[in-house]
Amino acid sequence: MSELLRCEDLCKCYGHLVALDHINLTVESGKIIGLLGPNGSGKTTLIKLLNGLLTPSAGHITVCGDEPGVQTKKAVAYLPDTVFLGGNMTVRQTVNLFDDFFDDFRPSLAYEMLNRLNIDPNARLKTLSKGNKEKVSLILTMSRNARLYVLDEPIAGVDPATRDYIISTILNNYNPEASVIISTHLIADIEQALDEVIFIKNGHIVMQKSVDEIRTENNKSVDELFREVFKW
Amino acid sequence: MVKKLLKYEFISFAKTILPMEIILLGIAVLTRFIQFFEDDSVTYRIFSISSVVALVISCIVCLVMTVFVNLIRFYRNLYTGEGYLTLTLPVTHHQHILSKLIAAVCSTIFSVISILLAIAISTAGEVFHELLKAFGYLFGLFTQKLGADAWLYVLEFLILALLMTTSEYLLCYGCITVGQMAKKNRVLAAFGVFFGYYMFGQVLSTVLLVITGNFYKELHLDELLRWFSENPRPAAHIILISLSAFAILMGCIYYLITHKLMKQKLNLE
Repeated sequence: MSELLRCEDLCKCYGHLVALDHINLTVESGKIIGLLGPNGSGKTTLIKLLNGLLTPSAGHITVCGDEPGVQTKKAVAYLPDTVFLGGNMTVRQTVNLFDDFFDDFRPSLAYEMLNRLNIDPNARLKTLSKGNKEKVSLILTMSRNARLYVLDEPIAGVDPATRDYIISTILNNYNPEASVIISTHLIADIEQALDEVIFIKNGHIVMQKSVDEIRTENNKSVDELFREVFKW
Repeated sequence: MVKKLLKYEFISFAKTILPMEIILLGIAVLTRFIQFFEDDSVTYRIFSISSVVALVISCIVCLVMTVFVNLIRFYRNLYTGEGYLTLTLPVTHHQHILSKLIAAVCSTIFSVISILLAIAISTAGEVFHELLKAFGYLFGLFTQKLGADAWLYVLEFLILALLMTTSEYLLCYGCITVGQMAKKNRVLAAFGVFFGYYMFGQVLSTVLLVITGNFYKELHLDELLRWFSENPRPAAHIILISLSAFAILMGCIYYLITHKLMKQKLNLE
């Protein structure tokens, strides 16, 4: 197993607000990791930092040994928690765009998944339902043969059937030598898929444990432990 | 990677700006077509004047919309939800800014050419011939008086126009990038930064003018002006080249501000 992500004393401040406070973290390959925490805990800030969308206020973050930049962007497949595809583009154009820019993109896999979901490649994104837009975004992300997949709230705001489809897509399509970081607070839905969890609270990592350890040592499910740790 | 980015920029250009230019050329053809039915009737006059007014408005709209579309595209691609994709492509920030800038300047040049073409079409025939003759006469006088320098002036002027267009786009990119740092009303903030900067420039140039006016002799400006009036040809070259250098300097400053803020103060929606 190789190290994919390392954070050393990582801090991020927005003015006086400390979003991440001296985070130390390592993520190894071959795992599906849940990045769990309540709203405003710093999950998205951490994800933005590892994608190079923010710069650290202090400390270091490396992805596959490099600081966020062009090389790490080639290694990371990122699904943000917002609509990131231009509404005027057709589904086919977004596939072509990913194919143009990412060497590890597999267009045949993308079309296969689109076909399975009956999504017309010639449809404009703005004509698709919210659920279908999210599916297209996920298909594009998971069609990459990346080293690290970072999925920010991939199952929020979609119906349970779509949720199941998204989880099965993640499980069936990621490179086994890669790792998947899934940020969510819908733990019960994703728990079965996770190998490891990272609990984040007020910008601090309060726990990083394997799901098996939680079940044997704490005798609890991840959902139960989450509710205990983050109880108001 | 710049080539790939440019490919998407030009696809967008073909979808947004190109149709406007085709409409403009269509209006120019229509204007010329109406002139074939020239008579003294009121109906003809109404049609004739309306088509000319429509052509003038279309020329203005075409140029303004080209600039507007380019700036909107810069903002939308980089600082809204689309930025999550654009800025996670394996491309440097320099390549993003450069591709947008090249596409913006090229589309502006294309719009200017379209406007000139529209004028040529709408005046095709005798009027265009007369216009060409008048222009040829004026340029003949110009070259007769200045010799080889005339072509150099034209070249320097074209370079200056290109550099100023580039610099103005970079100024707008800088204002948009500062504006995106605001928590709310980011577009409004960008306009605020632009007008604030413009006002600051006006005040600064007035202050500089007053200072240079007061220290006219101490700064040896009288000698400089005398030399300019005695040597108008090299003086004109110096002025054009100095303005170009100033546009390059300001463009570089705006570029560095845009790049620095995009890298370190990104605030995606």
